[in-house]
Amino acid sequence: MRKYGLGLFTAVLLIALVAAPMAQAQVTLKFACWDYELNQYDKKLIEEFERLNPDIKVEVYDMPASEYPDKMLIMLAGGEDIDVFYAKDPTMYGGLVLRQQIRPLDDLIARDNVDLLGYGGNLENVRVDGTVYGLPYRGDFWILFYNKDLFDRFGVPYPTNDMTWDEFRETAKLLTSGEGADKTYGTYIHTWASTYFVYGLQKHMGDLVEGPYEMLRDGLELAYQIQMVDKSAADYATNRAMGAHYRGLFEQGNIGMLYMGTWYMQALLHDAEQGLHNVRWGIARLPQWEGLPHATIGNVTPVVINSKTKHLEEAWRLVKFLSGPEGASILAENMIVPGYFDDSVFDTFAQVEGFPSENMDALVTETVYMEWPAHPLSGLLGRMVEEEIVLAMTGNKSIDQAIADMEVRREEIILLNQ
Amino acid sequence: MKRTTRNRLVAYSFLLPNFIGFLVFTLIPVLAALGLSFVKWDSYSPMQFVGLRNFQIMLKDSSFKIAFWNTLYFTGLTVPLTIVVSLMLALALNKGLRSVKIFRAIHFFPHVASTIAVAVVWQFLYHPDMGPLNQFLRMIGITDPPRWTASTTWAMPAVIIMSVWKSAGYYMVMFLAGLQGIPPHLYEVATIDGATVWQKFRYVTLPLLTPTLFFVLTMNLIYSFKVFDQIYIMTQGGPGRATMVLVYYIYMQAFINQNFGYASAMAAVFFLMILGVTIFQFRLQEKWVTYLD
Amino acid sequence: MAKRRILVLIPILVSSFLMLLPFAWMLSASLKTNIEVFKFPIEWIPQNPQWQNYVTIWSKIDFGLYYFNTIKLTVIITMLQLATCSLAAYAFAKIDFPERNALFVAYIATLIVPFQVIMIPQFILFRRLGLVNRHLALILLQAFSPFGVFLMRQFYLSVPNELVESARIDGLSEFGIYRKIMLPLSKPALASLTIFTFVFVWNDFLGPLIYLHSGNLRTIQLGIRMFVSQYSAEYSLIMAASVCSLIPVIIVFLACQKYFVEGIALTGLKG
Repeated sequence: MRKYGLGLFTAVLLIALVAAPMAQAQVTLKFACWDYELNQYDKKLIEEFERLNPDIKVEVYDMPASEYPDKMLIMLAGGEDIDVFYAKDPTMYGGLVLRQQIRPLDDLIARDNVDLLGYGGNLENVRVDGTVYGLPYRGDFWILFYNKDLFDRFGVPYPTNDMTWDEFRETAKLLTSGEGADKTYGTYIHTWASTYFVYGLQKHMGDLVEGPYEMLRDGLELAYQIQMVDKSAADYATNRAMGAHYRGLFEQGNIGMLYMGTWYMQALLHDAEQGLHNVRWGIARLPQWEGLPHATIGNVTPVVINSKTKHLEEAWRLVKFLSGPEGASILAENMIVPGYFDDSVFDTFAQVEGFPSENMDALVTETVYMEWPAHPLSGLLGRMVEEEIVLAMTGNKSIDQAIADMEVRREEIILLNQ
Repeated sequence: MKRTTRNRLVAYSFLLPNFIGFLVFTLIPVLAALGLSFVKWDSYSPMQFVGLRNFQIMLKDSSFKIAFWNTLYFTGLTVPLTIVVSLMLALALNKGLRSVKIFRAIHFFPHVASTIAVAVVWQFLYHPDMGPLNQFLRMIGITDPPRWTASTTWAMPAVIIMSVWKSAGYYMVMFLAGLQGIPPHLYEVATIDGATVWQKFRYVTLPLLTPTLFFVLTMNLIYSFKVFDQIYIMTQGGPGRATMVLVYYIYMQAFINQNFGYASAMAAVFFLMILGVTIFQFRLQEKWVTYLD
Repeated sequence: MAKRRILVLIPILVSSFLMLLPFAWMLSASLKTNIEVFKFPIEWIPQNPQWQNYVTIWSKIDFGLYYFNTIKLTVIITMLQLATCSLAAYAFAKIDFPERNALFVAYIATLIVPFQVIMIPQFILFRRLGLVNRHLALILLQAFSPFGVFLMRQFYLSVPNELVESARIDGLSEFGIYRKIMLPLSKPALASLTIFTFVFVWNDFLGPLIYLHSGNLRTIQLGIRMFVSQYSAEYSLIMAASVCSLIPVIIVFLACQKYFVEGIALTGLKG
């Protein structure tokens, strides 16, 4: 046994001596994101990055999407040295900026002459007080999806890029019919609070922190009418009880229209490939209010660098890759709308199989409003507004009362958090 | 050596393995967490000492008051219901028959299943129009059944019912263990003396079950005050704030508002309140808990 | 006699039905496609049972590995708990020392504080100790539970002091008393602690969520969560995975049940 031991020891020593310099030449970056294994596109991004940068190894921290903000908060609080990660929503982003947990990038952008044009309006949404704290990795925004088969069946012309909300409502009525297994719905309004904010934000009367919450009124009235009066969509309470999710429901084929974020395109494509549905879908711009210039609501996902990173250069390279043209083309191939959206990305998109390329203009945006400003109280205020909306949509409170209460509670929250 | 010193040495040698782990990994973080009540901290930036400010804010916070009352409401109904149901189950299933064992397992099932799966199922069962529960209620003649988790009035009862369902089996097991500790010859003596079933229960079972009852009552109270999982998954405190309970509000202030100082302050108030109740219970136990001595 | 049996049997049957109803739905949902899960009217017996759901969960995520991890953690933690808690409880119940009550109150008191506020200080501590992303973190977190101490203490309190005193007079050491008298008597309590600890660790979601980063360390609950992504929730798979995760716990429960048979506990007290 002893002679083997010596041989083994020597072998290990030799390997270590050879491997050590190689290992030292490699920098390990810690990268966090959500649903890494579930959503293959981040995996493709990281693998491509490692291929192009053999001197960098990326260690991925993967976690479930709904737990991502909480877990990141805890890890960063505990001092985990995650170098690069995504800021999942404006609240998280704003919080990271406030606590100075992420590094401003303006100096690096200037130094490397990063092309900012491709980001278009998304760049404004990652600027906080004039400084860029992250680059747009994804630039999702809300559009309208529709089921061509259902429209054909009822002989209704497809939605156009300047549909108004009134037309939306009327169209929904035309597509609603039947009972039980034959039931078709004109539309589906998802249970996220965002779905109810969208109408109000288009009015551009202010933002959800400063108010006035009066901006939400017309949208709430519309949603209420559609669900409870016209009954062209399942109502909020039903959707909640069923843990309903737009993805499966739209793919069932009995929903005419769905307004949702561009991220849904990837799901539709993926599920079709898996043979889970055969809905012929089209897209159009988000419906708008009569008389107002078109606007949609955007959810830009910035990729950020930990302010305490020990590998700034490497981290910056990863950020540039993820948010720049190379990352963008990989995302586009996967039907994800990247933050960087120039003509070549546009073309990549148009060529993806299964994408309704005749609806390409639906992806052209003029004005994109952010759902939330990067404000410390946006988390709490968002929660509060959502509570009141739920009360209105479940019939526990009138819309008038809900909006009035929103204003009162807003004042209270601001007061308590001075 | 003196009796107390000797006892101390022996006692600590028994305690040590558990106590060291407890001290380092539980007690110290708990004290740190309570200490955070006096600071303003967002989990990352330097802490700022603010004295009693967090407590002053609490008094003006309508959400805190709502959460406080909701927690009392939830606990006030859940605890008695759970104890009565689980005790009855334990008494009924306190035999060694194989069929009884299966029934015990069935009643323990709800506790065993993961909360996320159970909450999803219950949410579905509570569907106001088409859920089985309301369909059943309509079948027996109630034309306008409650809208459960969609209604501000009925959301909390819905959570309470689900909680009793989930934990009855858990406390049933505790009572079963306790029932094993009652010497059977006491029952034999009672039968010989001509005692009825009720009298046996009242004079043999109940007094000797009191240590277990005390345990069940204490744990049930603590867990009910701390209710979180079901709310997090089924109602998220809603509709509105109808099921907003203290721990959920603490979670919101900590993770959605990143106001850890305030969250800890609320936890401290909550802690003192329940500690008071628990100590009161401990004192009271001398009156009603019988230990076979 | 028979009448009383029936009087007891009927409510038990009703309550058994109520206990099982949600599981019936779970089981039926696990055999449907995702789209069918929430269809109305409810189809209790799926027309087209998707048995492959039970295969999919093992292949779609590394369910086998998560199963193994969970079993490993549960066994280790349960054994540690049984040992350390019963020892500590003996001290609290049968040895008279001055700090006894104060220390015990401190134990119980920590049960009151919600995990949400302890989370971060605890995580910071574990991180300083270099224990993050290791199973050891979860083991240390849960092996020393005050709940276990409380449960065992209550049980020990109900064992008559005379037994202990007479053993002391007979010259038995405290540890001997613990081993030869208390432990055998406390089988029902140990059995119930085993069950509770097992279930708790088995179903623990927050602990693994916070402390485990690597995919190969994941537990079942984290695995089930992977069926809930940002953009969908595959309920049929969630239900199938939940059903699978129920089985070992039920087995443990049934195994521990034999200690809940009336009369075993205090043989030896007669006379």
